Amino acid sequence: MSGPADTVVLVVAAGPAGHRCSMGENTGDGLRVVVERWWGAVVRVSVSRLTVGRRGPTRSLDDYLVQTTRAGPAACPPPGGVDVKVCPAVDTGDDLESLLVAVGSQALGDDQAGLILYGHALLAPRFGADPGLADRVRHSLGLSGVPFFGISQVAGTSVLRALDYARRYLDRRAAYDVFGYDSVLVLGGDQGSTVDSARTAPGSTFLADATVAFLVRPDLTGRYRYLAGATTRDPRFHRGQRLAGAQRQLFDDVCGEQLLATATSALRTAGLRGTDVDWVLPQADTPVSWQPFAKTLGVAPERVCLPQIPIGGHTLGLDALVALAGADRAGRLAPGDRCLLLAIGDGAYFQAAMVQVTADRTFP
Amino acid sequence: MTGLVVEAMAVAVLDRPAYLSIADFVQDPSMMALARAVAERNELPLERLRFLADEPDVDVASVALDELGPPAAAQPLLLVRDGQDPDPFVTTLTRMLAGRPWVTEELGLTHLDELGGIAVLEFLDWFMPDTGATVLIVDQHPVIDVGEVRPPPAAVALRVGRGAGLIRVVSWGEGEPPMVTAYRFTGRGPCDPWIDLHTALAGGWLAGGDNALLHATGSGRHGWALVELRAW
Repeated sequence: MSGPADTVVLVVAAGPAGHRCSMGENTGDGLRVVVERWWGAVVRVSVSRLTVGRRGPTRSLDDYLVQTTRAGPAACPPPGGVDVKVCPAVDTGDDLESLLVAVGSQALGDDQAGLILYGHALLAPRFGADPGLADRVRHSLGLSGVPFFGISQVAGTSVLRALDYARRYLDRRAAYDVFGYDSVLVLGGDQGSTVDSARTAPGSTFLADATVAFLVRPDLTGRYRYLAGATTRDPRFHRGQRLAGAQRQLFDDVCGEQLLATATSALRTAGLRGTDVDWVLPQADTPVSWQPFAKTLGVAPERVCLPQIPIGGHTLGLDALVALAGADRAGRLAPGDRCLLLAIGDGAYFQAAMVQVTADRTFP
Repeated sequence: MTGLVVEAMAVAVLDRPAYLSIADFVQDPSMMALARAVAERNELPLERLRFLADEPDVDVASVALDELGPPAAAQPLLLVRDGQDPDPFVTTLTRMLAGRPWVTEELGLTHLDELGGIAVLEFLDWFMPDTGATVLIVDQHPVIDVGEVRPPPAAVALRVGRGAGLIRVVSWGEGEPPMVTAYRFTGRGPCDPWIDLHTALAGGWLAGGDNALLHATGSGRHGWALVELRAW
């Protein structure tokens, strides 16, 4: 992996048992379904060593972009005059697999994991990885035989979903008093460069290769407490990248509203209000106007960590985590700060995760 | 946990799948770009590639799901499938929600390769709520070399719960299967052992109390599940 990896120690905590695990609320139009989860008793889990692997921020974006005259799909606006160089990865020699192993190793450290969840946004992961990826990655991590599951079909929300599933795994095992359960290693990321056409979101951004890893532990030795999460979906937009015309416009129109509903749901589950949020860490490539979003939620606009596209591009399902890591590295986060992580995926899916910064006992 | 049972099972095999050639995508720059990437990655001429047509009405997973029917209670839907969708620019699983209001949450499980039909049991053991879950195991090749022979697209739909059910899952794991007295169903695809079990059940070749060992293998890897058939 070229360039420095952003290494931040996180701790996320909290969790469930005593399951009130209800999902599916028909909102009346027959299309939009809200999924929420509540958990009764609190089981303490933590997520530590969030490691983000991507190119360092020192290179100019121009190194990676070339001008193109290729027209975009008829239904989409022109791609802004930029395209991405045809290369297997952003940096020669990089590939998804090595990036996953690199960040996974850092996140794992000397710890063990009883489960590996790998969230990926793209529906064509095989174009960036040969068969047997799970075996090779877990072998390289010293975790041969540990169950490995790719989490997909929920696009850009897959990594935050994986975080939620990690908590569910630990909670279930705790609820059933399974002896000796281990932590969950969450990996995430996509290789956007494998298929060049997938590198651009026409008219808005370009996609970066990036991976992330963190360990979700059944204790509180990490950096963040996981207060709550929420998922919503709107299957009207299942055509994803093929949304066209009025459908695309409708998606853009309702995106902010849906995300707001999802965030509100997570806050309600955590027993919080918008005014309790210290930082909003959004996805980079969204048709959401963040100032009105923040105002409606009750958050000061300057508390929205604006997308880091100029630094690293859109990292699909990792944007919120990359922003969180960046804010932490910059020293902007203080113990007690509540951070709202947001993700949107084709389909359409919306995910919110509420975490609280703790006094990190392992952060150097 | 554990105590998993399969309450119902349905199988679909697409005997005559429709495959498209690159000529069908000349008006679709996204698919053209994808096809070029596949050709380059596999060092094949573009003309030799064939692409499974995206036909929602005859999508093998949907057919299997329809055959299974709706559950008694709302529950999650898991799609176990490696590789991309026939049209990777739409979200196929979300499209399948139309007319299926019983799906409380849905997700895809990937990177399980030929062990997908077995490994999903491990996931269900901690993931599945008390209401059970529906699992779709899909084995299809969205992109093929015109010169190679591939098995037809197949899907197995399982309705999984805990407690009472037709098939009790006794144990499962990765690696060489244990030496047990059981009917053995071995296959190289994620659906194969389940399809063979389905065939045996439909043919009346198995009886209540029989044990069956489902064995998936490929690329030097093995996965297995020991199941016991309940009297019916």
